[in-house]
Amino acid sequence: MSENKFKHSKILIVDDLQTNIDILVELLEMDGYKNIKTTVDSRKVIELIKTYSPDIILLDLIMPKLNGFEVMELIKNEKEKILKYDSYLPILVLTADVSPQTKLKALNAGAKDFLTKPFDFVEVRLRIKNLLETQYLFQLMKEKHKTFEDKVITFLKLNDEWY
Amino acid sequence: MINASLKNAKILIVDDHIANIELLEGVLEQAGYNNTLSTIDPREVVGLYDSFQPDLILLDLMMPYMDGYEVMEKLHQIIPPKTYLPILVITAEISSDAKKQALSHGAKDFLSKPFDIDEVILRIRNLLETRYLHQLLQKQNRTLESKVLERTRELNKAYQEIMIANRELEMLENAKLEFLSIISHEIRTPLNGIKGLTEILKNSIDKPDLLEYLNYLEQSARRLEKFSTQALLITELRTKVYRMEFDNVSIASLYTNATKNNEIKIKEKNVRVEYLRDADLLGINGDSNLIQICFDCLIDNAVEYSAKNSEVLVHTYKDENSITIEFTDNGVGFSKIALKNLFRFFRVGEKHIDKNIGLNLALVKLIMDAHKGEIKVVNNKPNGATVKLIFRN
Repeated sequence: MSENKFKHSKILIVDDLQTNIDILVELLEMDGYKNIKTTVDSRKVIELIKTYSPDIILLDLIMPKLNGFEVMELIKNEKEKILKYDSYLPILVLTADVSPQTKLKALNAGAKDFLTKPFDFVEVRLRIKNLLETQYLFQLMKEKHKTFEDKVITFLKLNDEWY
Repeated sequence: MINASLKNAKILIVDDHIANIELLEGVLEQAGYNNTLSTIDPREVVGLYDSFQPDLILLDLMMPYMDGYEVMEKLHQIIPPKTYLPILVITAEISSDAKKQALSHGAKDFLSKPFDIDEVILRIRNLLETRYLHQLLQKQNRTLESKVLERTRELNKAYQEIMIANRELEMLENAKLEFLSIISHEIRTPLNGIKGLTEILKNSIDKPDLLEYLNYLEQSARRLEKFSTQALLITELRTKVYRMEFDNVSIASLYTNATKNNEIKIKEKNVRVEYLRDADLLGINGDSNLIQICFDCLIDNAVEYSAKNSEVLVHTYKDENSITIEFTDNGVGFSKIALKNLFRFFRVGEKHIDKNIGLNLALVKLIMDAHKGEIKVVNNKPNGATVKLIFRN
């Protein structure tokens, strides 16, 4: 694999089974990802979004106390408070349940894509990379907007100096 | 907005099974994608890429004549670099190695048969979204570049115009200075005749009323002479033709000379010109001729503005790094307009402010500039004004 373009992207993994987390972390580290944070306690996700501001979340669906759907619901409700204006946070759902109903439900709750257990490692890498790419493009767009605004401001200032 | 754009996306379906194509077409149509094109012949893909310009390709791997890998290789040769064209590979359950191979050939993701409809829609949408962002960014880059170019051109044009205007102004300024220099030279020659003959007439006429006229004539000639001297000096200072000669100039003699040079006016108004200085302050470093002119001008001004029988004070003192000379009178002070325009002269479209100030302050300002010093003018309360000359050490 060529140099990973997104190795500095921040990845948050939420799964109540430490083994699942270990596997994913191992795999992602092999791919060069350097910024991975994990939790087995889904109640900490909102706080982690605020403090860690991840670029992507890998989210298990079936968890005690707060399941994946509820986490997504919380994120949706708190969106304005925890996400910066105009930001884009893709959620990749981890699930052993492949029934169309579950998938649809997760989609409606805000998931961007799925990874089905047991994991196919090719797909894990691929899907994370694809979503990070989209996230990166969103980020780039925002910066471009900012740069453009800055340039316009510079021009206006220059104009002022001339006249 | 992004949704509307995505629905217009062009999707090319390549599968040798017509049943698969029909199924996918149906799913896409239901999801709102109306711009689809399908083929069962993989050999047509390159041609269709050119004519249809798809935003996304759904590609079967196992096909007769040409398999999906080969199609991707062919596409890779014709797709311009930096283009993000997502290829979504349709497969039955295949090995990890086959998947890796597909990815290395340019596939972006997979759809496994039998299709899960939600997954089909989801994956297509995600990839289209990424392509849309790619295109938006490229378009923005182009717009930004062209905007920057355009503004740069505008700025350059404005700059050129300013430069031309600047040159014209410079030419005008030079013409003005040249004109000043010519008239002051040309005034002095005939003045010689006027002054000399007036002197002769004064000595040979004894009728009092005629003598008074002659005095007036003499005064007028003196003013004209002073004007021409000052105008010439201003021109020389402005054009930097004047050669400064630095010396330690005695302040006491500057004061004595200035009172002598303004003797007539001082007597006429019966104004006392007092002189006050720090004990250890003796001289200023500067061009004695120019500084004398400053003293002459400022005492002339102060006396001119003073009421009869009043007092003008010349006060000099020293700071850590400067020497200040103050000329204070008890006159009416400067008007607001005068304060604003003190150091200007011969400005287009402006009436001459005050016949008494004339060129005096403008000239003093130029002299102070030449000495890298400062001139400050303040009105005092309840009346009077102070002009300060500040020389830096």
